[in-house]
Amino acid sequence: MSTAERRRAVPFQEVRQWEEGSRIDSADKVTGRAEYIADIPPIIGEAYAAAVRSPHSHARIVRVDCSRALALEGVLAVVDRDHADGIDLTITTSEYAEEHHGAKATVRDQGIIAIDKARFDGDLVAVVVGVDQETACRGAELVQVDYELLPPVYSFEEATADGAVLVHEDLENNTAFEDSLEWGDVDRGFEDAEQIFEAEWFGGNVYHHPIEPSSSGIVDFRGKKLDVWAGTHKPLGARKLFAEVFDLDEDDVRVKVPPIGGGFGAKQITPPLVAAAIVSRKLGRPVRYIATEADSFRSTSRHAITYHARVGVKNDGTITALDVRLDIDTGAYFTGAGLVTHNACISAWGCYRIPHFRVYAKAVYTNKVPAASFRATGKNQTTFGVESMLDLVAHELGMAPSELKAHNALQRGEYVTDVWKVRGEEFVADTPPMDTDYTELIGAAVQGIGWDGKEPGDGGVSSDGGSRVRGRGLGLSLRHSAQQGGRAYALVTVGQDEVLSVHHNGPDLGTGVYNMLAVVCAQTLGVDLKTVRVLDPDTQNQMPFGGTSAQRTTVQLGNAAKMACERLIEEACAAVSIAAGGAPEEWTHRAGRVERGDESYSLGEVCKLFRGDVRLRAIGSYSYAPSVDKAFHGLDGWAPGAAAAEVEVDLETGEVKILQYSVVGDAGRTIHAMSSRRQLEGGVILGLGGTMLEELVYEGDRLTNAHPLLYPMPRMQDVPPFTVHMVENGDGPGPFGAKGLAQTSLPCVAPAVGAAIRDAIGTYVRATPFTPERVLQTLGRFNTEDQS
Amino acid sequence: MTSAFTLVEPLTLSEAANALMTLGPRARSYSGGARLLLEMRQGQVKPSTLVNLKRIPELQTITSEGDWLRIGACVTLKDTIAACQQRGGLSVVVDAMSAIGNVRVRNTGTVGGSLAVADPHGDPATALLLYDAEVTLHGVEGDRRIPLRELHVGPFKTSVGEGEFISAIHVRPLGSDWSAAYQRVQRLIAPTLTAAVGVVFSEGTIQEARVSIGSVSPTALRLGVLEDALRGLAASDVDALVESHRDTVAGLTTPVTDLWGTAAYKTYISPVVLRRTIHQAIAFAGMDNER
Repeated sequence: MSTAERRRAVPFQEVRQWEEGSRIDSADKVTGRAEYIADIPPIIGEAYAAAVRSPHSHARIVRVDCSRALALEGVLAVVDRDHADGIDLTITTSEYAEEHHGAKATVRDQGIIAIDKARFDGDLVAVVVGVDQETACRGAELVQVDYELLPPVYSFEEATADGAVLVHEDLENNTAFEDSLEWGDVDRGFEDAEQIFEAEWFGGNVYHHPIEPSSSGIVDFRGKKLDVWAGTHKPLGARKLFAEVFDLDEDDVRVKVPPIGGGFGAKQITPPLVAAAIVSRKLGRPVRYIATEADSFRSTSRHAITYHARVGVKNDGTITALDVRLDIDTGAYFTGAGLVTHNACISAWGCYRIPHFRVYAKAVYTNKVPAASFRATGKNQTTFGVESMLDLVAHELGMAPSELKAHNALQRGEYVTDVWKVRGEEFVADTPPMDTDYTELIGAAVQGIGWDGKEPGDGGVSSDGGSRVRGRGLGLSLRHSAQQGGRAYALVTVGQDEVLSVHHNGPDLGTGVYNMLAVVCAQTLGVDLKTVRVLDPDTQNQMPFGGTSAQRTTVQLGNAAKMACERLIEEACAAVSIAAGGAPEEWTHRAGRVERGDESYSLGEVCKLFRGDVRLRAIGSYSYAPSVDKAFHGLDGWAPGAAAAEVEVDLETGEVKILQYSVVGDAGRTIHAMSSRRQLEGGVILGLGGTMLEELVYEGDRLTNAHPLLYPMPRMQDVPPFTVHMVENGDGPGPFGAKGLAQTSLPCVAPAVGAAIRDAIGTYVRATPFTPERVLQTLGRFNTEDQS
Repeated sequence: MTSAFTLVEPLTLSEAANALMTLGPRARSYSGGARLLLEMRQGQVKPSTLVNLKRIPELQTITSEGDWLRIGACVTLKDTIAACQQRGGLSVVVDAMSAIGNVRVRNTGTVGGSLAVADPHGDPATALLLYDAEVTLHGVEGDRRIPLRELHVGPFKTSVGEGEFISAIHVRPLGSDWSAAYQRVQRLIAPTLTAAVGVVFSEGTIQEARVSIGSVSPTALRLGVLEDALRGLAASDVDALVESHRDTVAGLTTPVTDLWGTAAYKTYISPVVLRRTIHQAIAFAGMDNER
């Protein structure tokens, strides 16, 4: 099928009047009408929780004394290692407690409260609950904790050195998790190679930094029922977690999710909210925990990963073998070690045809904020690695990187391989075939910055006789869709007022979930978008969904909502046939109405025919076929991306200015044009943070820059002019042919900018962020040994 | 969270001084409060009393006093920028103040407040030093007017005494024969390095020069040695001169390793940025009175 034919084949209405309009939730967000956790009006009897955290990265907890806090007027209760109220404080509170990708045993090492020692700056030692926030905070300051300082471990190298200090003393070493993926025979692959290159690339720790701090919530424990309001990306996961901790039936826990101010992987249930629930149960009154910026920095982070690669190629640039080792620093607790390490492994080959491939990854504990999911998890650091590696190969072979990458990228219809070994165990490689044309993506990306993809930059020779040189670079990405996505459900109902309500459990992290659902429903039913109301997630609606992560939402929840609407039409036809006569099959659906001959009823009018209480309702669902393959566990599609950057490097100050940036996403089919563009743009801006500016700094016994003034994030003035190009072939697994898009643009940023810097200065900066100082060091401009 | 505090809102200079004197070190005066509020929210400072200086009329005005422009300590950065633009000959103050924070910060933040914080990673001091600015401190004993260079005694340390507060900043525009430039290196919100240069450049040589530098040093400072050396120099000799003063500049600024970069990095870029700023000031010569 040609592109044009594919496009025609998509049953998407021609009239897409809302495409260019704002999202349905925009007005509420910008006017302040949207109620985030902190905005929810106080519940009668509400108390407040404040966290007492370790100020040291690694310390034995000698004494915890809450007596002065408890003596403060207005302090109602505390949770510490001596005040557990019958709850096992070592029970994990991580949403990653479930087995992920066969991660050896389920590792449950982050409890609610740190008992014997604090393993990172921010480890929770106690929670103080008071009648109001100020009392709780004052009480928290009165908790006396004696620490015995232990030497901290801050890097993979330190954690794996001989005689390294143990983060978890009950383990033999600091290894948290090992993973591997292999196909073909790498040794043979290197024998086949005519040239072999080796290099390493480092992506550092960053914090997600959503505008709304992470992990706030309200817990209300009455009798044997627990109500939770939490800004979590996985309400059903949260329900399960609370049910386990308090030994409740899942149906006795109700999790509701208000609007969320950004997530990027950080919006999880964290220990303070669970501790707050212990107090709520004890007091029988609601407890609110509002995380501060300082708390938020200490809830989760992105893994630091070094990508060591050895690549074998023929002289024409054909890859024969790729051997990768990933050194992963996962922070103080297991949390995302299994998930992210595995994702890094299955991402380490990029988007290329590699006959012989091997990756081995080891994640180790360090005394840093526990690392877990980060938008395009495991993909950012590995994409920086594999893309930079291929850029290097191209330069060494004297080829244009765009040509080398196009030559090696999997072509439409091609499979990664046929069989592979996951941690030594052999499986049929169960993935869909490649569903994009990388040549199309590459062409659009380089064109976006007015480049032919070949012409090199200044290459270290200043163009203007001054000190600034320019270069251009290309980065490709390939994100897999969600794995272990479970089955997604959505419920739609419509009443006499014609309002279509969509019930679901897909939190909107600012990602446009509600808007996507509304457009999909309005399109499917042929009704006005204004009549669609998307409700906030509420586990009481019993609509399973894996959560808003891993760019699963448009495909999985979108398909479920679409099916629900299709079934609603069936229900409307069945109902109208009872009320107005005829067989259901005689009724047809057109533009939001059911019709038979001259008779025509809107959905609301069908309800009215029945008099009394009536809402038409239907449930839709979606899942792809699960697989025994432990690499991807089944997969419903790929999500490819590409980007090109032009930079100007100041050779004297090391400053890198991005002159222009072009991003291309293969959307399959955009559900809402503006949202899709914003998704790509947002990914680029987030990527610019980790690429140019952001890095968590640990020094002495603490995290030193967990502060908005000290943690540099991109501001609007740091955002370069950029173009967004959307590829729409209607060939995705989602509604109307959509693909997941949310994580495609982010991983391209570091490799595209890194390659552009290389093009400008003739050498690579091998670690992100590309700070001016790192650039100057790379240029050998000053000797760091001189530093005082 | 921000801890509770008592708010005192004096209407006169003496009320404010008396309040600060009586309340002692747990009281903090503020004007825009842009920085203080952030620190209080983070729990870094917990003043029991805040003394709002904004209701004192004298602190809100900008007046001409002969050659001098007097900027009340509570005048916002935004209004300061506008006044300096109008007055002319203060281009570096305009550039430096415009680089601070974002428009919301400039709409609430004040020059007095910024100088009172004495953050070494700041813009105003570097810029104002170029003009030999002075500040008036008001206390129970009345006013005392001191050169700006005597205000900052170290990072976050000022010579403001007990019961005192900054009431005005005095700045004298450079003459029309001067041209000036301001440059900064930025990675975090606050600058890594700030540099200001003014020159009288005519007949192909530098007749007069003023050079100040900040953020790489405990306090912003004038580089008198460099100023002396620049006088009489042709533009083409500037690079070699600045390079020959590399160690001197490092010795005067004494950069330290912090989140903004290593001492070695700051030592490396200081002469680079100084040289560029000098050239920029020369390039502006005779271009526009504003410069």
